Amino acid sequence: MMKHLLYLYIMCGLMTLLASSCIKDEELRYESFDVAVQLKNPITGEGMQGVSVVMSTTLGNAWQATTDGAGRAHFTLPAGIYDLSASGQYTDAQGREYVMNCSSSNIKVNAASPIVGQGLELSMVASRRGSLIIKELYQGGCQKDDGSGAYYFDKYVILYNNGQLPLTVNQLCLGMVPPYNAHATNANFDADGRLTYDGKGFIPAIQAIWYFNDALHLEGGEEIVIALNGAVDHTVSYSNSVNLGSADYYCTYDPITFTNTSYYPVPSELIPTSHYLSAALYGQGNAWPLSQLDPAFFIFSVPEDVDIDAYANDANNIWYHNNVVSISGACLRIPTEWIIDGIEMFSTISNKNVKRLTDEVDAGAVYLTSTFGYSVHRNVDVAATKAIPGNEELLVYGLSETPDASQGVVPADPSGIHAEASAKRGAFIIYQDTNNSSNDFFERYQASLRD
Amino acid sequence: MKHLLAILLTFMVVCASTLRAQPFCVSGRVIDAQTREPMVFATVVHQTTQQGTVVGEDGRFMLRNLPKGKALIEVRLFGYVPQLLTFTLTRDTSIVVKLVEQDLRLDEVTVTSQKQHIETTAYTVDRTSLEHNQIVNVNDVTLLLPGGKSQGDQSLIDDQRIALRSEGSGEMGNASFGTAVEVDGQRLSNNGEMDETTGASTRTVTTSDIEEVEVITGIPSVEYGDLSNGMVKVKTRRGKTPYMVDVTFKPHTKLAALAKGFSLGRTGQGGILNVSYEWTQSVSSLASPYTTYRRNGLSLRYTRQFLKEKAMPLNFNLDVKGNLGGYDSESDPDAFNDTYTKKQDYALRSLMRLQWQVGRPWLSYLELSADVSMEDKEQRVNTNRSSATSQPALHTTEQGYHIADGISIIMGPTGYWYELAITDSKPVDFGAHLKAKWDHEKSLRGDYQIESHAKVGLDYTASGNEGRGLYYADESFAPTWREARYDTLPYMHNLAVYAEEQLALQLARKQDLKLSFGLREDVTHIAGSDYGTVNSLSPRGSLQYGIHGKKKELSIHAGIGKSVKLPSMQVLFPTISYVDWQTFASGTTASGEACYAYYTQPSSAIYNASLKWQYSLQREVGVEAKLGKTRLSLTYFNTSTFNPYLRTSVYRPFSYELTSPITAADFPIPSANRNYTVDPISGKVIVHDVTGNVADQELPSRTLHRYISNTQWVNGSSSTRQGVEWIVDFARIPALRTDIRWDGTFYHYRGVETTLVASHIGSSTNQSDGQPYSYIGYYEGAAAASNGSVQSQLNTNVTITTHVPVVRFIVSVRFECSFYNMKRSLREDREGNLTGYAMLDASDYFGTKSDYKDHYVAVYPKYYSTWDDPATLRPFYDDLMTARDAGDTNLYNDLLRMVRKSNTNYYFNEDRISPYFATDFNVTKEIGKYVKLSFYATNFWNNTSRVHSSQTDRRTTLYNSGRIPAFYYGLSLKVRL
Repeated sequence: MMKHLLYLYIMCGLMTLLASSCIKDEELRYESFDVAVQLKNPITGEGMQGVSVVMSTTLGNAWQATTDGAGRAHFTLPAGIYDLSASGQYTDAQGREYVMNCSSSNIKVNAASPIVGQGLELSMVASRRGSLIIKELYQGGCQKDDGSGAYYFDKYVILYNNGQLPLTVNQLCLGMVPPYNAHATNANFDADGRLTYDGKGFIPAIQAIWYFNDALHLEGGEEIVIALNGAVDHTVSYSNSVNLGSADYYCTYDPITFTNTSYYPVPSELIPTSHYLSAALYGQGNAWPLSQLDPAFFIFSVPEDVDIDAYANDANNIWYHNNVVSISGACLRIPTEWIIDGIEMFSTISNKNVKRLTDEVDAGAVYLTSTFGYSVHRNVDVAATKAIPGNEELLVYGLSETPDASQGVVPADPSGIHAEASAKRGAFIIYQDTNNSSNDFFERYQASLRD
Repeated sequence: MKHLLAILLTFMVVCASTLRAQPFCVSGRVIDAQTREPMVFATVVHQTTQQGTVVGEDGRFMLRNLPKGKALIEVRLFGYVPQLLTFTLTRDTSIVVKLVEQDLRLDEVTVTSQKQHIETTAYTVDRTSLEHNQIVNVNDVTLLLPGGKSQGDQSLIDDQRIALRSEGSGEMGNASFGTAVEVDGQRLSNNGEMDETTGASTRTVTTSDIEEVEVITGIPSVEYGDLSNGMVKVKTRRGKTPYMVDVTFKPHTKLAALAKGFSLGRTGQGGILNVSYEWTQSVSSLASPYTTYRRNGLSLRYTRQFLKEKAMPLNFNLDVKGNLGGYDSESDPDAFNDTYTKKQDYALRSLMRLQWQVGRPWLSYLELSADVSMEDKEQRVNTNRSSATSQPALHTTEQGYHIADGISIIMGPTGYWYELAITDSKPVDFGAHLKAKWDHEKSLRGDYQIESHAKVGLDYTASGNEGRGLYYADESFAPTWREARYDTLPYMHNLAVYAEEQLALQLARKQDLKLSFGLREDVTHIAGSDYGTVNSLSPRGSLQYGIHGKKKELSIHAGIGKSVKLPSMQVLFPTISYVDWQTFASGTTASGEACYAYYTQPSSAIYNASLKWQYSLQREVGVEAKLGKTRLSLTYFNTSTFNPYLRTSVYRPFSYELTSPITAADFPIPSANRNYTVDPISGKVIVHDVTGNVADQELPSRTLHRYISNTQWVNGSSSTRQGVEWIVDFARIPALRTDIRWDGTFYHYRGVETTLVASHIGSSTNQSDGQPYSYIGYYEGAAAASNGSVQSQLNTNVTITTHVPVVRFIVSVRFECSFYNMKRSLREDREGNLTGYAMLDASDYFGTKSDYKDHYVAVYPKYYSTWDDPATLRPFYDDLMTARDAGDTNLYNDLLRMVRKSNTNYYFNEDRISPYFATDFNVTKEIGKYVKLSFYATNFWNNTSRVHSSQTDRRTTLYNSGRIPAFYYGLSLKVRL
């Protein structure tokens, strides 16, 4: 009897097992392969020499090689999946300077991969070098005094005229690219691993954009601070935070559109109302939620003949994040020719960071560990800075490193130059601008406004 | 309606006068089948008349004044198998009842639900089944119904509610709210809740002392009101019992219980007192087992029979049940110091019942009962707060402009503090009930016989809430908040009268016909409100025709009935809402202080005087058959829910003045000398110089247009649920001592909401001219892509139960199969015509009214209104086309914002999930006479295979999908001392 019973239960179990499907993991092999990457100059059609190419994995391991005279960089890589990033510069016959960038994701290196042996040929993307740059972005927050966690309502960005001549920018705007976090689900990729808007002439700006109500004028080497939340002195309650209540500062403050007073307390009485930026909202929300972990942030200038509010309200200019039609994912198409500068940020707490800015704007990414008061800050272009007469002796060295810089983080300006201290001594700082955040930015040990 | 009730009462009187009662006695002894000892304290109940008695010291009993005809006598004693004796009573009769100990040595043990053989669909789950499945929440008995699904983690952390004959979420008609739950005849009402309109929570109901659960999915008797989706009746253990210890271990839940039934006085003349205490604790996370839900249930149930030796004995019951416990995260070390959430779940319920067994021709039975239920659901949330600036907290309830003055607007602190928010909710329900019965019979010519069982009753119930609502322990730290006390709201009183006649006709020796019909009239009164008094009539009827043979039996039943669900406090009294718009803010000073002014627009609750009570029309037809030793039952049901309670928004336009902030530098009065005032009517902000050196400065402002939104409950569109339920109990396989049950359900739901509802895109959206968005869209059903759904499911369970009495062992394997699971979103009008526009591209706004499959779908509001003229509903599509053709870009773009689109191009595709399966394993073993061990595991094979979705054409894993239970297990130990 027990035998029959046993058969009955075994049959029952088999029915379940048959109904279930099995998934076998692919066997992993650990071999090395020779891979050659050829980079072409899109203006001349020839190979680009002297370009630094980096092949990196999501775990943070990276291999670097420089292209030879034929534009080839040679690697010996373990089997795996890689992201490629390359940056270079080019000056044409008319003396116009271009920044050349190139990136590619999900490059499979294994015995069956066609690029092993055949190599990989990529065309670089050319973009004109601008002089208004994002010098520093502080949005990761700091620790509260009572130990209850992090404080995030003290974000700011510093924009800097990286040239020696005065600069006037009309209808300057701020935007952020979806998804809000680099490690969030991102379905804005086609089957080839390219961003769906790459090469389409625009970058999507999610939810809303902020804009200056007046033209911005900056002298050479001049900078402005824009408080992105709370243009007040945050150090009153948070000793690790910053004072954003200075008279010279600008701030994002539009109480009609964004009513959340935690994000937007009324600005310091020292800040003139002319320094308030206005918002054009086409998405949803009572605040502009720039990621405290890993945003993709950019600045752009709308042509004078385009009304910003009308452009933002035009249904034809709306694009949807992840191809999901939802007001929470509504984005405004920002033509790439309007874009001045951008920064792609990755979080050190995730290994699922994905690029959002295309190579035209930013071909790399800078890592940040949030909640500890760190910021991302632009590196000094040593050669250009030292080339300015009288500058070299004014430079201050010895910038501190971020205490807990983890793998993949650039812990300090590789030059060792302390840009803010040098500027205080009168040095004119030229920052590195290769449109590649991997090269251009480092994680600063503290927000520069606390120096 | 009143005429119908009168007709029924007249009919019943006629029946009563035509059919005569000839009272007889049934007496006898109840003894142990093995030892032949008298079974003291066994209960003997005549099922038809509900007359009952308790067996005395000598094992003897007597039931008097029983009607002639078919007699159903049930004899129960804890620890023994209940006996149901059926015989024809034609004279005074003496019987001997032999009770057999209830343990796994018996041949007949069931661990599944049993269908009742009555004229409607009802199932019984007995104690053995509850223990075998280790039920710790009454909610989980639904897994034992045909096609029921196991819960992986039967934790008390999640407060799930019962919804009979419904698949729950996403369906219209508030199925959960319409499912009634009773414990020992006392209703667990959720009508007094202010923050939900769902079924009653069963977390406070202890399960270790449950003797039986009856689930009525069909047409209930008119005795039961305030329901629309069936009911669940929980019966607890009564009678003298030994000490019972129950211990259950599950990964997230632990249970310990102690119970005993005491006989009071010598030989129990003082009655029987059942006492039970149960402690149950669930944790939300195994990794951090500190956030808990606790249940401490104490139950006292007193039963006594007076006038036992007299002709008309009187039964008296007094139940007092209480619970202390709730959700608590205070001890969680992962939370910041002193931050926590506590949700009390205290309950005190009491029921007193008198049952007078009159047994006279003019009255057979009279029952009077009263009950009261008081709950304390206070919630305390302590939150750590901090701010660099002083934040405004609005407390004013007056319309107009207000400036921070420490009363109407309080400026909060800077720095660090704690905010303790308390939501005080104390639902109260009480009622009184009177029920009378008449039982008559008459023998007709030949073998024909007719029985009449009539009952009339009067029900009074009241629901309210004595809570204070939301408040803060320290109001100086409170954020924007207004007091809305629950205890000032009137109670909902309901008086119901009902009458029901059940005729049983013995057609021939092997045939019978039962006919039951009744009427219930509910009169609901809400004092001091616009609702006034509402009448609702619920007629219900059912019949059953049976043919009984030695080896074959056939029974057919059919029924139709209307049942009304009374509204909840949340439906009756929407919370007063306020909108506050910042009109001015001075610049923040160096110390983080600022002055804010706001315009406040309050709105009183919008009562819907024409609100009708939600009701269901249930229809069902069923057949039961016994073929040899195989039993089967099949029921088709169709339930339509009408006038479901639907929450909508009503918008009212208003305008206010906005004044820009001023700064330190560009103003003639230094900031240190400024004093701000705001005109409460005009909103003009004036800056005064406290030194008097500078004249008052009136600040410029501009006018903004906004809407205030208020909740209004209306009656929505009807929806339909229908399906087939079946149970097949195959003949036992004797060689294996194995029973096989195949049960299942095919369920189909369809609901489309076509009520015109208003929607505003959101207060933080601006339109093309820079003003806040000023249009209101009126959509059919919902301001969303879909306004309804259709779904079908075919779920079956095969349960194989092997019972080996010799070793007191029972094992069951349940094979849960979902063969068909389909759901599709709908967007159509009342006639079923497509109202959305199918488009190929997400960025399109225009398409065709064609099949939605693989298309994005745009939905236009039917009408829209403007801020200037809110009463005029303009045709949306016509105006949109006109704006486009006329080149009115601003209006065109603004109107396009009201177009709702499906998120994806597969949103409206039919979502058929490929079949999936799970296997549950249960085993129970008795160790000697006193100890019983049970073990179970859901999804025993830990099926993590993938299923295919036809909507997305993707395969997804079943792991953590909610489609099958997670792998889970439990062990329980029961000791009888």
